[in-house]
Amino acid sequence: MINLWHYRELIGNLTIVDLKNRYQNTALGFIWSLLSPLLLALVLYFVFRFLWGQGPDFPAYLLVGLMTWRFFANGTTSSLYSIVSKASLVTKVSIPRKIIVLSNVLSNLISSLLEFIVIIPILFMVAGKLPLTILLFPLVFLIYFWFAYGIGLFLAALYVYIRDFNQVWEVLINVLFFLSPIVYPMVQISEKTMPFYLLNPMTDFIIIYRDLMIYGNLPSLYNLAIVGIASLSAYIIGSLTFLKLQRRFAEEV
Amino acid sequence: MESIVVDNISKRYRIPHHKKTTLFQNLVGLIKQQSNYEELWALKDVSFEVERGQAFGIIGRNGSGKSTLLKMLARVLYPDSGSVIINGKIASFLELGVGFQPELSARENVYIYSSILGVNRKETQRIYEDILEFAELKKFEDMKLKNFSSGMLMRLAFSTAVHTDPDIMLIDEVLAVGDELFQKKCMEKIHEFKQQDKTIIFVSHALDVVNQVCETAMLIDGGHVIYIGHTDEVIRNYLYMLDHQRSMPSAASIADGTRFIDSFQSNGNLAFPESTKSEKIIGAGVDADADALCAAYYFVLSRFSPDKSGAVNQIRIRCSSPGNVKLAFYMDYNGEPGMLLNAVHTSIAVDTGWNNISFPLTLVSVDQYYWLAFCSDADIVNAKTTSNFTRRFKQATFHTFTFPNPAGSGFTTDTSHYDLITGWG
Repeated sequence: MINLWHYRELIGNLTIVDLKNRYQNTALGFIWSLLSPLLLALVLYFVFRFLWGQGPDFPAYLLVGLMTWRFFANGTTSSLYSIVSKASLVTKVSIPRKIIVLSNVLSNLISSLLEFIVIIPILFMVAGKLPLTILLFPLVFLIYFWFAYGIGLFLAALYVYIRDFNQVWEVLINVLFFLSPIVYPMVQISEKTMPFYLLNPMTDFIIIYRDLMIYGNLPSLYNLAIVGIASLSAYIIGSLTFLKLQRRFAEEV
Repeated sequence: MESIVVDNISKRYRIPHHKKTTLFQNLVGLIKQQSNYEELWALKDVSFEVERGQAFGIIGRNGSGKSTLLKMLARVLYPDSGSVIINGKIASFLELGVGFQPELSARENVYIYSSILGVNRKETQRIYEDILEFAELKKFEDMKLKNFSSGMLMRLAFSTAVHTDPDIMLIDEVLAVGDELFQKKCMEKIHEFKQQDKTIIFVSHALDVVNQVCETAMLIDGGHVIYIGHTDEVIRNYLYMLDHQRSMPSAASIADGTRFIDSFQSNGNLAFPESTKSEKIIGAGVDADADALCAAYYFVLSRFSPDKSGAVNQIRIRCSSPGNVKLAFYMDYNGEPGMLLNAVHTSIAVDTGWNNISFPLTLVSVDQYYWLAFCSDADIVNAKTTSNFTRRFKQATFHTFTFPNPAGSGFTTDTSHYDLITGWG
């Protein structure tokens, strides 16, 4: 951690470079990058609107679920490629390599924050009010960030050695999408499977986000415990894997 | 004080037979449990020290391990064993312009690049004008990098890198930057660094530049340190090595054997348990083309596999009369004596009969070595005469050696194992 603080300017620079490259085109390009998740939400809304007898809060439900999901999906997938695609930072200069993953997840975090900022007025329009609990949003995002960062470290290190792991991850992430309550209501889950269903940390993250941003509930301790444990273990396992594998990065990249 | 202490580092690369980069191949490899790679020692037991303020050159052929070593110093690769200690801030010019962003302006890139090189924003602001002025790119500072020519890119990168005020610079063939004028500026900058007591590690194939920049140099080949010494000396050895590789053996001539040294062996008890099997006598004879420096050479040349455990190696020489013998060691190059390894020993007094001579040997990448025992009037001790000797040796004609093979002692090998002696030069 102290080590990373020393590199804060480099982390900042790499994050900004990432963002600039993502939004490098015109002002419209930037708008598009926000518009596309909204359009996706719109499509999903029309597709899933009539299924399962969706309630009146379905638009808000869907938007928050989708935006929450996007940070994880984009953050981890781009982390997977981060080391391999920035090979020269690995083979030609000596910087702590986790910085590359960290700045990548950070730039995704900023993108995600922008997306959330855009949907907040929509949430307000749909519900007519915004719950106060939304102020807890940054705190939960911090936990969520460490979760994605830990998994990102794990994936980035593994991908250096196993080059088709991106295919595996793509499948996994699609499975996870439907294992999480994004496009369907949770009443669909039977009593019996619910305990297992809740073990998926993505489910708990999404529940917490909806509690904070739509329903005005404080997150349940159970949900918090799951995401806390998941983030901590993801970070520890990711860091250890990365630390072990990074020694030969320069040879394998 | 030492800037760099490299202690006995080795680096092993794994060369897969079929590179397994997919999950399926990895799983199959796990199930089959076979070793799917060969090991290649890119560096083996390399040790050296560089004093602060020293300019240290590293030369060697392609694939000799120079870049691996430099990457190890730059902390990009990690040694499998041994340690690298670096005192001071290091700037590695393994590649210029790492992390340059084509879509961003020169100004933005200078800030990004210097943060990659470990310089903070405040410091970059201070040196920013100097960087652009040195690179002669002031008027292009707001231009996107994708519109720069490659020469401009390199100038910007080099200028940024040298202005980051490192204590130690690792330079790998990057001076071929820009036009003549800019290259001259680069050399001036390097000399300026030397005056500021900064340490420079310089890797290049441009031997004259190495000679100009570095007082001390190291020759590596096959991942081993062959020679460390004055740069001109190292370069001479290097050229000899290259030269020798090209030379072809000439026709052999037959003559009678040695007079002075009439029998020899590599010791079978101590260091060479397999010596009678692995050893081959290559040649022994008299250098007819003796000159003033060395009145006459009587020599035997023998190939052997040394003891790799690091024990003292030993050879035995039987002499027909008392005298002085000197020893030299060469590495094997495709069945011929190649690079001279150790400086020739000072004269070793020998008596009539068998003499045991112990010697240290710098092992390099090959398994086979040659030792050369010779005697001459000249006291060949320093590197200069050694290299003279090397030249002489190269021109010598080798003769078949009729081995006396005294019954019950000494080297017992069938005469049919003796090679026809080849000379070269």
